[in-house]
Amino acid sequence: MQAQEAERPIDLLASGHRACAGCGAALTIQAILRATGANVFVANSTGCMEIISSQYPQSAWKVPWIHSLFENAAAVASGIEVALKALGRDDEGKVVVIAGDGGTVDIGMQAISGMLERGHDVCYICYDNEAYMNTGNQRSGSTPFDASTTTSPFGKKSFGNDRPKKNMPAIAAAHGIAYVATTSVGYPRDLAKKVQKGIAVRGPAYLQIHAPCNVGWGFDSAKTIEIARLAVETGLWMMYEIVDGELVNVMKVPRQQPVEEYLKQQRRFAHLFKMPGGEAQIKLIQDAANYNLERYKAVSPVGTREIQT
Amino acid sequence: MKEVRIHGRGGQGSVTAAELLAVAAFEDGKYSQAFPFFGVERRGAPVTAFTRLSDKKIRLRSQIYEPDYVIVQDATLISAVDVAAGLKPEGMVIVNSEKSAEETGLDAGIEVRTIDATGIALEIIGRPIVNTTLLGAFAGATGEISIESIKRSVLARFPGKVGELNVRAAEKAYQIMAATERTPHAKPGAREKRETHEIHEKIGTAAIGKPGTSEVTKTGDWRVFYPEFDMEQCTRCGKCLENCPDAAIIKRTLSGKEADAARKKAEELEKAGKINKAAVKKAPIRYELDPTYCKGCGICANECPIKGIKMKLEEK
Repeated sequence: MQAQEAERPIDLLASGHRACAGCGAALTIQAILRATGANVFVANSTGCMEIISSQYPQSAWKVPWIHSLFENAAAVASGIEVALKALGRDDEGKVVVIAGDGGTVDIGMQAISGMLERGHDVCYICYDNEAYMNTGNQRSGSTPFDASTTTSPFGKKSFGNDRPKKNMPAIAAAHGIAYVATTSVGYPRDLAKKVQKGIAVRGPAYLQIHAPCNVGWGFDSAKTIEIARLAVETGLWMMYEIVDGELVNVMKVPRQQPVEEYLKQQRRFAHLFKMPGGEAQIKLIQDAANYNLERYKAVSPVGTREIQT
Repeated sequence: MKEVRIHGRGGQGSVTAAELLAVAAFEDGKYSQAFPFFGVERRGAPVTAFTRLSDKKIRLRSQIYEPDYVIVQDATLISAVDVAAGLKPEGMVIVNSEKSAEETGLDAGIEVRTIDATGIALEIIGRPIVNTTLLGAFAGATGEISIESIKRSVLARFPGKVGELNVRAAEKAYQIMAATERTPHAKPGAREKRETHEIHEKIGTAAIGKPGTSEVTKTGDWRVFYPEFDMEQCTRCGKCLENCPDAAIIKRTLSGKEADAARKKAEELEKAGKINKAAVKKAPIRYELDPTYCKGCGICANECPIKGIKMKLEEK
């Protein structure tokens, strides 16, 4: 190469990590770390992002990083936070949890609840790829309605996962914490802004970031961002903030896309377009999307409340 | 009993190939067994799968360490993994490559047969999925299994058009292999033991000591397609860089003579009415691919607002 000035992105997650090509979660981590900068301590629960970034004897992380168990990233982060305080080093950076949806809404639930309720100064970030992708696409509490996974397969008597996504942001907000937000890897600026708010707020914050998985959901690796945006444009993934318990800053969807646009591109929903009765199921999903938009719009007339840092 | 080890990359269907082969052997009236190596492999990362074929009941349940045959789905694996490890002296390695056996880089003294399975798969199936094509090649090269059983096995797993295309690709590979004489086996030479843990030595510690050491893993060899940037039309919005999960796009600002040359070229384009004035100013800014790490996902091409990035098939 010539002697030129090369500007790499601030890649605090180094190249050479083993994420699948087109990984939405890896992109989420890149975006999170671009927003936080280097002054963070990351506690990372078991899951795809831990596996792909730390294959022994290597590490892709360029920030202080610890791998917790599947269930206790929030507890480990709590410990780091109080230790930093005790050592008088709490000005060195923010403690951040990065965990998948399985490690958050299912397995890690108890530790998170404790962390939020004790008021630790930790920003908890869940990348939500809507199933246990690390072990090969098993259903989690965050798997959407009618998605076919290996443990909620479609078949003669099933359209796939028969329960809606667990509303984890609402559960987090119910702890009375100052900042809860949802965002998506398809909206990098929104993501960066919310991550920065999450680390700026004093006390616990909870973020959930929608991060499509092309291998588990079954779509072309090039379409990760496109699918992420479609989830928002259809009304199936809502982007909002809950500041001091109040729902604000709901991302408006000016032109709502029909849910088919989102569903038809993914193998996990392909059965809905082939099975008898599939049409009625798609209608149910459309109703859910419409309900989402209506409900969030109804409670968010203006929405400009800002966080106290 | 014959033991087969399949080397591939996650997503290439190595485990499926092992299973299809086992089912085909069963169709041939043999006992068979298929299983993957358990690991944390991701799409694109090296993976291994195994098949045992036998006229007698198979009681062995271990991993295969001394295979009779090795199938390599992706020739780029040869530099990353010791694919011929433990191969029996009279064994054979079948490699998906358009190159000759000598050019694969495998040790002399190993019987190597190559076939351009990617070419066949792209031509017939339309996608670079080579597992079924290689099973056809395996049947043709080894005679251990009939092509009819391979076909039945593939059709049972993939009914309809997909199966038929795969069967045609397998048939073609079979014909090519069966028509080529098996070269008399060279004298099995003493193989040098290859070091497969170079990375470990480089780091030289039993702990993850340094940050960002994943950079020693050149994930660029996972790639099938690579993005090509049209810098003339590029608006320098930076969306490609922002949306790269592998930090494999580099922004570079030219300086000195090179910057002048870039500006001059842009001015000419502006005169010709191909680009606007704002684009001339930005001409010294370049977005470049870092081929060392790009996995070829195609997000940059999909997200480019002016469709100025095209995915091209990687020459291997």
